[in-house]
Parts: sequence; structure tokens; C-alpha cells
Amino acid sequence: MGREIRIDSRLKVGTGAGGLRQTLGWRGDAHIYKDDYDQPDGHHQEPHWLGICHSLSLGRGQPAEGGRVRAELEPIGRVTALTLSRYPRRPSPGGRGSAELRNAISDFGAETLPGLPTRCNINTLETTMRIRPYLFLLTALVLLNSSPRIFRSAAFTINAWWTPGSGELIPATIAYDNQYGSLTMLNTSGDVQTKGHAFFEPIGTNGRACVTCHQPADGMSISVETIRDRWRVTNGSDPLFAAVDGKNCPDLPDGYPKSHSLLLDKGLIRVSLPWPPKRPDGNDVKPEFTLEVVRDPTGCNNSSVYGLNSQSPAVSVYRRPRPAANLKYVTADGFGVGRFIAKNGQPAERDPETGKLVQMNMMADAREVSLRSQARSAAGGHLQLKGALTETQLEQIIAFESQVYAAQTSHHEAGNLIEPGGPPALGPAAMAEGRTGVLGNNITNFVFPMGDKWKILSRTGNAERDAQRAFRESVARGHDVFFFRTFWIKDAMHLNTVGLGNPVKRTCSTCHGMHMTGMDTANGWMEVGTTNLPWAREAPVSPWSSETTDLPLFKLTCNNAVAPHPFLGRVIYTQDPGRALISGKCNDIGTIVMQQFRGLAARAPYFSNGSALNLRELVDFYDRRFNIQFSEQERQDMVNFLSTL
Amino acid sequence: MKNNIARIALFAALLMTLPRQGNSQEAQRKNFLSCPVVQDTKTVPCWLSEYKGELYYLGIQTDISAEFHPPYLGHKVLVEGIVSDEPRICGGVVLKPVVVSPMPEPDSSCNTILPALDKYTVPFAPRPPGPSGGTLAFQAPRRGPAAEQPSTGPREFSIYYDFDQPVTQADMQPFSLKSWTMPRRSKRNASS
Repeated sequence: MGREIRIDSRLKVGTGAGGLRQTLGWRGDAHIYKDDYDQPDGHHQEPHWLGICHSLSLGRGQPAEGGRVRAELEPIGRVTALTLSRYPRRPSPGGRGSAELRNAISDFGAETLPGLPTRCNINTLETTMRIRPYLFLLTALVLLNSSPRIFRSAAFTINAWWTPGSGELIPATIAYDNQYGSLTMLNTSGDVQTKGHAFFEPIGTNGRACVTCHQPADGMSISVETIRDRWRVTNGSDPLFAAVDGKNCPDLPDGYPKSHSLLLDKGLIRVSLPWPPKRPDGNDVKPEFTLEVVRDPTGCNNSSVYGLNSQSPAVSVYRRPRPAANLKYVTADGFGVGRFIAKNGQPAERDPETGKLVQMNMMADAREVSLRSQARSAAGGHLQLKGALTETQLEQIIAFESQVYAAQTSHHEAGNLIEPGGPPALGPAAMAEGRTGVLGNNITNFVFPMGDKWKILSRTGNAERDAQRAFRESVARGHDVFFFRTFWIKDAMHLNTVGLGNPVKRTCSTCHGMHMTGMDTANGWMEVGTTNLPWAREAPVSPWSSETTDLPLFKLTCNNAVAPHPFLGRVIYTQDPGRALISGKCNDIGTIVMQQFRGLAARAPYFSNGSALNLRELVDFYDRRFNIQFSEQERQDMVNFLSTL
Repeated sequence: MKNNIARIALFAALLMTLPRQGNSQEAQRKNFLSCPVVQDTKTVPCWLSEYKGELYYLGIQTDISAEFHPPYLGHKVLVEGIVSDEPRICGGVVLKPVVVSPMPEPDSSCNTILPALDKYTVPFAPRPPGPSGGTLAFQAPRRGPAAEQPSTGPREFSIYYDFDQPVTQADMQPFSLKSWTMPRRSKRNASS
């Protein structure tokens, strides 16, 4: 048996409702659920097999109501899975609920219905197991030994925190529920044994592993919901909350949520960078600007130990962990990668170990040139590893990161995102097979090839299926808004300045142009105002508001020897100077490397400073920033589209 | 006598004509510092600039493969061009050739975006405002076999860059071996 994970959930079935408290276990190659609640008479319920499906609509079962059973979870926290049992539970109000479902599933048997989320088929197999166990085991074996493509239509599901050092096996394909449906992680090298694996073992001194902040369930990043769950479950003792960067500042008192507010509220990890910046050879970069601390709510930038006036002067900024999946796109050296940085004409970075040009699309500030250098820095910093990673550890980490793909595969409203003939861009297998280094801002490659199938779908007269079709049409429209809807892109450093002019009438895909990811194919740092004033999210200053902004604020003044920032002038206020903390360049102030769009549903909040708490806020930021004037329909279509990636 | 008078008259006429020809040529050249203006159209926007009561057409929005790289609102632009005899585009007198170079210091008075009007169209635009058709607006021709080059001796290169600004990736196209950028704007010559 492996670890046990507690799920708090509330089940809503038809018109009935009942409460469930369950533990989730793992046995062998299939997820098995056991019930551990006490019966009303005090008798402890023995473990039973359960099934799981995040959205089930049975049209064939002819349950007690003589019609359709629609079941969905009303989530508490991040859990959105519906857990079904095929045996009676404690009575639910009105005498309906899980018993009704039991009948439905009994009738449903092991057959599948076209158009249903295929993960429900697994659910059905699991529920059939008690009747025909050999059939289930045979099917499971076939699935587990099949190619990843087969797993596009059949995946197991689990809601899990991956504990460093758990030593469990990660199957080649594994699905995790999230608020929009489920995300699937695909390991193209097959099952991954995590015991002794440097990505999964707490190799440092603080109990963390790489997986701590790159959780499979969260698309290999970590959502703020997961972070809050960990706080609640461990009372703040999880290594995730290590003082080094899991606190707003290491010297804040232990055990108080307030000491970790940026992590708990926005999913932000403290990143301490030397000031002035250091070159790779250790020499100082002479910055083109001065840096003053205007606001220091964490106390870290004015700290005599950790701040700008400490013995090792440093700037503390706060950033979201980036997804450690789909990385072949992040490290590719195709279109836009040349001897000079496309954005500023400076010589491009080279990997000192290989001498090869690098894409400079890793990290929010592109400070790492390769997965190797990133692993070394992260091990020394976030994991507080004493000494250096061994070559074997480095190879393990990079091999794992280079073969793991993550994308949304199922959607509560759109259904199965990876069914045959569906949008070719969706799902992790598409990511694994996709071409790297390709500019997608054209109608030959597309950034996210969605095909035409979802554009116009006929109606069936079946309300649920028609609702799904309407949603799919919305997703297709959202793609078109992303790809074709023009607006004035204005005052965006390293976009308007590369030869396109200011403003340029273009679309979202002008900047987010990398095929399959929506990153920048060129060295990808730009300034659109996510951290720079006046556009960065700040608490309103007014006598009627007690809200305060919890991020630091810096005043950067560009010196007279260089040209001013073309759109912000010489004095710039920012929550995070971004790339400028590495390059020291005035025109890099507030530039952030754009992120991939995949697995967004699993890893809110968004932007490097976590300032968009959900997809709607993300869309609204751009609408406000560029005065796009999206219609309400366009906004919702965009959100729906992004939630399927 | 009549011959002398005729000669004097001819000489005087010549003297009067010469400066006029010079003025005429000078009149065709326009060098000025002014705000750029965006004139939107149903497709891609035009870039204009007003100088001494006249509106001049500078170019249209395409992509970074274009020789003309549009200026920046929020900055004055140095325009250096020759008045052509082509019909007006987007209401502006066509300058061709033209080089434009944004001034480094911001100028918030340069903020004019004019809405699209039916009378202004740019049917010659090589790419739409959204995604391209799969090629750059000014795709570099496929390169044939490399011509034989002298192994020694002086060679001349042209490097274009903005006024008083660093050389960028786009400026360095001849040396970066990328086909998606083109030299542009203010011209400096260098020999090696």
C-alpha cells in the first residue's frame, strides 16, 4: 500500500445529497478507494471498492427515476472528483443519492457510451470488478502495457499531493482532477520509479524535493489551492513552507500564516537575487539604474540580514513556480534563437558546458541557461542542498523533466478533450508529439491547432449533449479570439520595439506565438505591466479601503547615460524588476519571460506575481491593459478556451 | 548688339533657372522631426507624419521583415525622405525612399490614432493584421549556391540602426544569418 490521502468532499446526486469522508488509497496498478467512515450505528465501515469519475452522465441505466442520473461534485477546496460507490451507504436525505447511482451503475455495466468522458469507463470497470474481477485485471494490464496513445482515451485518476520520498511508482499516464476537469501527465519514457530519484527525493536539508513545488496534479507547477491544503493538513509543517523561501522573509516567526502570506495567498516563492547583478563569472554587472525600496511589506528588502543593505546585498522578489513539464519547447533552439537576443541586440547566452546558443526562455528572468544550471541553482537554493548535485542526480532530474508532458484532458463541460478527431492541440500526447521551435502565429502551423470540428456542432435535442456541444463551440470561438481578434498592442517593451512599431494592430498570438505552448519563440521577456506600475495590480489607495498590497514596491531610476525606457521614462515603479535584475538594463525593467499556456486549469493563480487569481482575471488584465474592449461573450469564450489547454 | 542682348538674356535666364532647379530638388527632400500619426484602415494601419501643414505617408504595418519599421507613438520621429509622385496613401504625400528613426526621449504629445475610414485602403498590404499566411511579408529569396567571394580585399557592409540607439537583432540581420529580419532605417556605412 502506498500513501493515503484524505479527501473532503460533498456529494450531490440528483435531488439527494449526502456527505462523504473518505480516504484514498493506492494499490498495485489501479487506484482503489476505501471508505473509512463510521456507520450511524457506530459500526466502522470496512473498506470497499469504489469508483471515481469527475462528471458522469448515464443515459442508459434507467434508474429509479426512470430517466437520467446526473451526478456532479460540489467541491470543497480543490477536490472536484465525484466518488461513486456501488453499494448502499448511509441513507441520504430523501432516501436517494448514492443508492440511486448504485442502481444506475449496476445497469450500466462495463459498456461504454459514446461521447462520455472515457475515464468513466475506468470507473465502470472498477465498479464491475467485484462481479468480474478477471475482466478488470485483464483490461488494466492491457492498458498499462499499451502505448501512451491508448492512454489518451483511458487514464486513471487521483487527487494527490506527491510527498517527497514517497518512493511510489508514477505510471506512464496519470490523471488528476482540477476545478475544470482533469489534467493528465504523460511520461513518454514509461513508468517512473521515484524511489531514489533525485527529482522526488528530499535531497536537500529542508525536506523538500523538486516535486514539492512541481506537483504532477498541478501540471508540474503548484496551485495556491494545493498550498493552502498543505497548510491545513500539516498545520504549516510541510517542507513546502521552509523558511528560506516559503516565508515572506526567513526571519519571520514560525507557524503563523502571516509569515507565509505570499505563498498562501498567491502561491509565491521568495527569490533572492544579488544586487548589483552578478555575471556568470562572478563579476558585478553595472546597472543602468538605481534601485530604492519604496514599500517593503515583507521586511526582507530592508532587512539587515537579507536586504539591500546586508553584507550580501540582495533583492527579494516573489514569483510563481513554473511548470516543469513540456520542457522540450522551453529549451528548443528553433525560430527566433540566434546569436543575438532578438529583443535588445545583445549577444545571446550560450551554455558554458556545451557552447551552444540557448533559448533564454527559462525562469521569469531567463537567468538560467539550461536545465542543468537550473537544477543546480534550485537544489542549492530551494532545497538547501549542501554541496553539489551529483552527475547521476543531474541526469535523473533532466531525464525526467525532458520526458514529462502535462495538459488538460477532460473538462466538466467540454467532456473528453482528447477523443479521436477532436482538437489536435489538446492533451499531453499532442504535446509530446508536437514540433519545437516553430512559430505558430500563422495559419499554416497555428499556435494551438484546434481544427474545425468544434466550430459548429449540430444539436441533438438531448439537453446535456447539446450543452456540451455549445461549450465546445465556445472553446472554438475562444481560440479564434486568441488567434484572430485584433487590438492595439501598445507600449509593450520588447514587442513594439523589435520593428513592429508602437502601437501595432495585432492579436494575442503575436506575442504568444510559439506553436503548442503560447510562449515566445524568441528570447521571451517582455513588459506588459504585470509587475510595473501603472498597470500592475495594486491595492487601491483611498480612505475607504483598508486593503493593502502585500508585494514590495521598488523605484528604479535610469541614469542619464542611457536612453530612458521608451514607454515608461526614467523613473519606474515596479513590484518586480524582472529581467533587469539580471541584465541591469533600463529597458528590461519589469520584463518577464512569458509562460506556457498548458495545464492552466490546474495551476492558478497566474502571472509571475500571482496577480490574476483565475482565468477570468487573466483575460480581464489584458482587456484593461490594451483597452481591447472584449465583449462578455469573448471573455467567457477565452476563459473556456484557456481552461481546456 | 542683338546677339549680345540675346546672350545676356539667355545667361540671365540660365542664372534664374539654376537655383530653381536646386530648390526644386531640395523641395523634394523632406527632413523633419515630428510626431508620427497612426491612420487605421480596415486592414493594417498606415503611418503618417505631419510637417508644416502637410501630411506625409511613411509606410504601413507589416512585420519585421519589412524595410520600413514603423515609429513609436509616445516619441517624435526623425523623418528623412524624398517626395515621390505616387498618389497619396491614407491621405499622406508619399515619401519614397524614407527612413524613420524614433527619438529616444518620450513625448506624450505624440498620441494620435485616427480611426479607419472607408476612403483609405491599403490593398497592397502583404500580410493581414492578424496571423500571417505562413510566410513573412517580405520573404528573403531563397539563396542559391554561394557566389565566389574574393578571399582578401576590402568589403563593404551596410548597417542600419535607429538614431542614437543601440544596434538590435533586426539591425544585425546580415550577420545573424536569419531570414526573418531586414536592415532598416538610418544608414551607416562600414568597411572591413
